[in-house]
Amino acid sequence: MSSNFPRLALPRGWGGTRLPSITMLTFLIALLAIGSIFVHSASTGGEVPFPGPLTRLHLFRVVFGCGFLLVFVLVHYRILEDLCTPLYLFGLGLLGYLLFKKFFLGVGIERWLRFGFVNLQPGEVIKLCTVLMLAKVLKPVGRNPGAVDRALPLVLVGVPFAMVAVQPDLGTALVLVPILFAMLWTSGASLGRLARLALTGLVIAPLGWFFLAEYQVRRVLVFLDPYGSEVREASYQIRHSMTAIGSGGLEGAGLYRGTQNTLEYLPEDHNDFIFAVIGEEWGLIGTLGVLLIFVLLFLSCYGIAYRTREPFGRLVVVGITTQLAFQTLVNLAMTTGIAPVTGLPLPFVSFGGSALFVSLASIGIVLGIGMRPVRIMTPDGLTDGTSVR
Amino acid sequence: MSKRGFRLSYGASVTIPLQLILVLLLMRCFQLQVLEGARYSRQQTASTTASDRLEGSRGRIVTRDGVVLAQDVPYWKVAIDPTTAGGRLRDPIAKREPRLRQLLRRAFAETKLVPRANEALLERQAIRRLRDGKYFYFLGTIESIEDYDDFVAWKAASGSRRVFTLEERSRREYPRGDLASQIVGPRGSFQEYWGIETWLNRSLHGRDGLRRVDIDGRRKPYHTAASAGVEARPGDDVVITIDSRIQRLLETRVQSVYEKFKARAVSAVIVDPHTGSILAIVSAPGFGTEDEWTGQLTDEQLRRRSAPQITQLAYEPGSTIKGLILCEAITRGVDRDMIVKPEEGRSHVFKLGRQRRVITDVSYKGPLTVDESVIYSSNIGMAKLGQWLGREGLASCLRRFELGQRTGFELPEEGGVTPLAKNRKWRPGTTLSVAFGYELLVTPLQMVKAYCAIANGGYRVQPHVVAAVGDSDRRHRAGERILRPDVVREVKKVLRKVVEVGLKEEVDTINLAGKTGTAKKITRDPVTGKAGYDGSKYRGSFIGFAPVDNPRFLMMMIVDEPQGEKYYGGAVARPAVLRTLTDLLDTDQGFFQAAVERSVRGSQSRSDEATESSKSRSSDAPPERRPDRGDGRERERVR
Repeated sequence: MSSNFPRLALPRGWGGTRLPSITMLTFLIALLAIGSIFVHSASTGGEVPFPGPLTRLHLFRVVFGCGFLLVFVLVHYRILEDLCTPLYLFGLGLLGYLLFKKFFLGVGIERWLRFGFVNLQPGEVIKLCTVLMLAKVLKPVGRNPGAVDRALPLVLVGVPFAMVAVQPDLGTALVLVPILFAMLWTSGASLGRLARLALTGLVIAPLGWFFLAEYQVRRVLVFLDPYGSEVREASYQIRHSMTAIGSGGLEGAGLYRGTQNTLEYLPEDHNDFIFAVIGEEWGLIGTLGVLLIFVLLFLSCYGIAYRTREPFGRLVVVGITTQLAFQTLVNLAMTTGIAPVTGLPLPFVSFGGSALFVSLASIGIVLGIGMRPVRIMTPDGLTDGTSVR
Repeated sequence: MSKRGFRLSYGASVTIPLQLILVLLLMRCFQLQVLEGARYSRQQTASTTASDRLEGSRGRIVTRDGVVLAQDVPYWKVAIDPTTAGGRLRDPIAKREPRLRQLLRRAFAETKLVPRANEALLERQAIRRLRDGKYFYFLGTIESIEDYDDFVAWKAASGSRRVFTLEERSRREYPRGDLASQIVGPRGSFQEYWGIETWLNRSLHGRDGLRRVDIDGRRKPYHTAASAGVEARPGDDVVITIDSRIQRLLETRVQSVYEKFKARAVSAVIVDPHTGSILAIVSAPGFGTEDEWTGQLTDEQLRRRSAPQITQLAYEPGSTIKGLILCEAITRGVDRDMIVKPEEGRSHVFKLGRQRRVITDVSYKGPLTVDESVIYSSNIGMAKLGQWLGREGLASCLRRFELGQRTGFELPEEGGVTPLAKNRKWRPGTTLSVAFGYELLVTPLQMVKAYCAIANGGYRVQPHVVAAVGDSDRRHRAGERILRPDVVREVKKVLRKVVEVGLKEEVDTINLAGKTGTAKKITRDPVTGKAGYDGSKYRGSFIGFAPVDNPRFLMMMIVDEPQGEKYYGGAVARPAVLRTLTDLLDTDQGFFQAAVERSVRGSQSRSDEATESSKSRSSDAPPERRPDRGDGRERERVR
């Protein structure tokens, strides 16, 4: 089947059933709903009726993002495959423009490009572009890659990594690392090769300490000892985030009853630290619920990858899912004080801009891929989704 | 699950890290919210509530004639939150700056806000604070309750309720400046300070209250917390027995004596002899005139608020003790016609065992009886009388008048030393010395207390300056009788005679009775380092009361090291006492009439009026606290 228009049927996941994709969509909607509620709670403290000014904007963006999702469901992913290289170069171009502005126009730390009313964050776009590009490069690579096959993925990840990292936006750059590993693993790289790669990375990483900006060093110090006297001021966010989550207890203070957000204790409460607001207002029930929803969502995505026999599609789904999952887990770890502050938003929940659009588009691509199984002849007969190669 | 297809195991394995991290996060949430939940809840409560100290307003210090000497005056500190002034936080700063500027200009123009600095400077600083994202900038003060009400109304009208913060404070005011400052003292808790402000601090201070307030992330209180705080209790007013007009008169008089004789120090006290109430007390130098109150005590004024010598000076009383010795002698039935100064001449040699002691009188007089040696202040005569009384008689006299013992005055005082003290010896010569006022150290207040007993008909009194604290009246009734009425009558006659004899060009219309005293001072020779009596340094004093039959006032004055030829108590102190008491008792001067009448009525009504007047004043005084108008979620600094 190579019709550009998919059969309007949900993709099959683990075990060949459609249950994973049903749960996936349900949970996606649930997360968007929870996100809207808590963006409202965090931005207004429930002082105005539900869609406050900020929430209204958020809702608008959610709807807009869902439009993106639909577009990527409808467009055949083979078109994306063809557009991989231009998209990747476009992403790099945006990053390059930012760096140009930073180093030649001296605008300081800036992660956004303003196109009229749209604020585009190239860091978010490049993640998706890199996933597509990697998938295209890794698709033909088998169990015994040549030297170029081994080096090319590293270069393709390394270039955007470096460009994002010097923005500086280390959090976003670091997301590229697990993407690389997951996709290499999926493409058939041996455990030994991945281990060697990881070791090399671990050896190089400490050198990066010297390139960290001052605020980044502080963030790591804060993470190591949030109550230390030196970083008391800097650890403000993380301390109040932990206080918010911890004081939520088992049942939470109740919706709109949180203190850390409504009283302006917690900066970025509707953004990166929205999980802390959920923790305070809904307690353990809320945090565990959101955690489980996220994990089930990502497991469903991996299920789609599992069912996808076409290597490009599978690699893309794995890359996208890994990106979203890593981002989510790092955000949650940061909010609960077990990882340094990185500035990654919580996908689907945080007050969104570029990140929300890219996340929803990614889910659209995943669905689109899952809905277009490749039919291929095997010795056992005609099966959906078996690789052509 | 089917094993067909490629990399089945890989497919599942991609999810393994995800699941591991999930477990980790679940455990973390459980740890934070369940295991350590209570701790974080406490932390949250601690960070979202603050306790606001409510200052219990300090009590006033009021004289018995109702003049407020010290009081707390409320004022309000006004601060602005530059970040909320001029619109929402989301607005760009460039947009908010002109609005902030305009609001500030309006505040300065339309309200009674007293800026703490140049207005243009404050404006610049506020704008800078806005740029720096600072929430608080102290602008100035509002000085009265009317201005406060106006300001609150203006805040509401201009829509800047959240922008300005008003915080009530109080400041100590001394409306009459330095009047009686030595009794009032400075406010403080330091040992070197003295006076009612310090020593009755507990009563004056009242009790501070605490109010729990909920605060937001910028530590701005937005409403009163549900948990009740502690109510502030205002301090008690203290009514003192000082009469402002008598005090004023005495201060002027002491200052003029101080200047006239270029003395080292001059101290004086006026007492109601029936009750022991101190009506005026002052020492120069160490007080000022009734300066204009500037709102703040200067260092000089602080220094002046030190203790007057009347209570702090331990000195050898000299001749003033002779009246007391006479009391004892008459009580013991001395033959008053006995010639105690037998021969003519200014000196007499006393044989004390193997020792010989020469005692000298200042003026040449013939043979003197007991009474006459008091009247002419003969040391030889008094020494003889001392020998007649003996050690036992003199000791009884010291005990009778409680010389060398603290009087129980409310403020710190010196004790003094007599030869009866444990570490002192009563040598044969002591019998002579004590009789004319040497070899013992007493305070002026002790002498005043002793002479009060003579003046009031024989009753021991307790010198005091506090009439009432809050609602509790401190009544000081006359104590036990220590002198027989006939003794008092006789002694008064003698003391009256002392004044009559001493009078030269002065006119005594008020029947003054009293005793002069002139004592050599002990100094240390700067060369030899030996201490001894200095033939050139004197302390002249006079203690007297009038009118002699039913005294209304008893006054004592000590002039320390008067310069010039005149240094006798009769020359330097007595005229001033006579003049002062004449002014007080002269019924033609209606100005003091009220004070005199109160004094006559004595202890029963002494402090009532002052308390009453202080109450009537407090009713039209501004209310101490504004009512709390904060409600539920209103994020407004309520005061």
